Amino acid sequence: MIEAGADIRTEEFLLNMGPQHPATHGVLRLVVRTDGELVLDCECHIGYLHRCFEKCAEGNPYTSVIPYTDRMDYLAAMCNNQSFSLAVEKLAKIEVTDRARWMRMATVELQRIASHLMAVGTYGLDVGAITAFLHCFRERERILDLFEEMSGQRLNYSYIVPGGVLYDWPDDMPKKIENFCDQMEVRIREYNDLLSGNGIFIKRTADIGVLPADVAIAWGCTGPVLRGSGIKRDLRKDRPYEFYDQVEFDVPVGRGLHGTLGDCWDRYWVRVQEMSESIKIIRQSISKYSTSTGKYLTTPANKQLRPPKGEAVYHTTENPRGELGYYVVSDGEPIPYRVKARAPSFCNVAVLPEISRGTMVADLVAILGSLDIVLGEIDR
Amino acid sequence: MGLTASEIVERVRAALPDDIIVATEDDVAEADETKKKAPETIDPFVLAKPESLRKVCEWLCYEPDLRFDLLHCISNIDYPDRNVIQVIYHLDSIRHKHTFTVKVDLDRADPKVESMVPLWPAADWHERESFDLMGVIHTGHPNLKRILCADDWVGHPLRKDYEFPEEYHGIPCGPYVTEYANIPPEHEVWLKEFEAEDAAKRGGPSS
Repeated sequence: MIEAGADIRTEEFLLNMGPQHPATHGVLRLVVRTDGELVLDCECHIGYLHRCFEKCAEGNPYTSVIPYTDRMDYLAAMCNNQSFSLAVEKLAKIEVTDRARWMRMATVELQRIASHLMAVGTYGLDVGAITAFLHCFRERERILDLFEEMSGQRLNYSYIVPGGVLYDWPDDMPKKIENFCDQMEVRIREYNDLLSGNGIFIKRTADIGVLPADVAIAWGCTGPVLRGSGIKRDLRKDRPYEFYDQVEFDVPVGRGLHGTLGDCWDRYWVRVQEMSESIKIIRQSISKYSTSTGKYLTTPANKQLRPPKGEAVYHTTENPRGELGYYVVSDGEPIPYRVKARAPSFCNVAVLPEISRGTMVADLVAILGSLDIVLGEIDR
Repeated sequence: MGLTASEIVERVRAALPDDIIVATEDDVAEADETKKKAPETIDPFVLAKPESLRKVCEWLCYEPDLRFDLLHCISNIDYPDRNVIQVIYHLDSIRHKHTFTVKVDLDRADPKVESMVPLWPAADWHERESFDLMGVIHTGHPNLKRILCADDWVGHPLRKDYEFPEEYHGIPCGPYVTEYANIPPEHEVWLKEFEAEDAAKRGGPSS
């Protein structure tokens, strides 16, 4: 970090980054107060994608809210479906079979890999490494192919619904997923050669945008952003949902390998390691899936759900971007009385002004990329 | 794992008996009714008095064995029939791995409550959203302005009696009600046949 020297103070300049700027990952507008190349302060303006998901949810039956959740975090739609379905299942007391749970876990972890591939690839792009982006997208494409075979969709799946999943897997799906896992392990080593150990990449990201652990907690950061600061917190371990208590995996945290703990490189590295952990979970889920029995869906997907009156459920799950929470309130009608979504990116991006003061304008792009935000979820 | 929510409720009751409303009549009826049905699904909570919310939160934040250091979310619900806007604070402790919920009932005509930004900076954006969409005034907030809607937007959309504007700067808007919602009858027949066929093939549930 460079200190603003009192003797070289030049005229302040207000710089508008966005809303149409490739490095803001969507329609985020940053108003940056600069002194030469230094960022003195920055302010985030959000809301360009606002469509009030929460108001829409109040006018739709429970199952019809699922497609809206897809469009929140559109890079991890499966995880959003799962989170909302778990909240509704808890509210309406719907049982899910073991087999459906293992299917869900495998798809959600595949989605986590796809989402992290996007994060890692575009992060390389942000700091000037184009090759890694193409490699990441090749593997992401293969995951989307698998999802297309499962659900018929490539981006907004609406696949995980209250009661299970919408369609059964084709017979050869476990084999295909295992093949993918085999290849993915090789590919992760490839990304490390291309990006993680790349000297230029390390110079652009190490010691940049240092987020101390106490600041991260105070601002409500979760997910890889919090773990990058060295805090070992993962809801899959701490408050297990589905069958995460029956699988073995590690929670990678930042260690400050190339600079200070909690810098951009640490957040990036947590995501790369999480991909390997997800592969472990997928392998275990697939083997458990093969031996488990039961229907893939316990209630028809178009059945009208009427949860009992007055129950409020706040259900949180670990999404690729952090902790997604759904607060669902029922008044006994077939449509929810109130749905509130706690979007992880919404809280993560709020910390940006805090960690970007005193950095260079070019580093601001690196910091924003390392937070890995999705504007569809911030604006809801 | 840390304490359960019921244990925390007992702790708060013992430490701050004057600052919480044990429960209003509605809540007693509501909680009892739901507790009989399913004690595990409704999370125990504390309903704080609006004027002492800060005190309750401060105690929860700094008490060594509770230590709620992460403000997870601020939700709000509009109850026009009770003339209440309820603000709900979802708290989380990274150190002790437990969660808790604090609620506060505000007068619907003048919903004012103290800002939690000095305790948790994370409250900044959540409170701006709460002001924007529900119209709750968080007094003492450093920068209480709209966050998601445009600065010159009128009204607070999440209120139950909110009326959609006809247009915004010449752009037509309002509730999206069109003839697209009506599925043609022949399509419905086709859909049912397809679903029955699909279910028979897969051995899943028939609808």
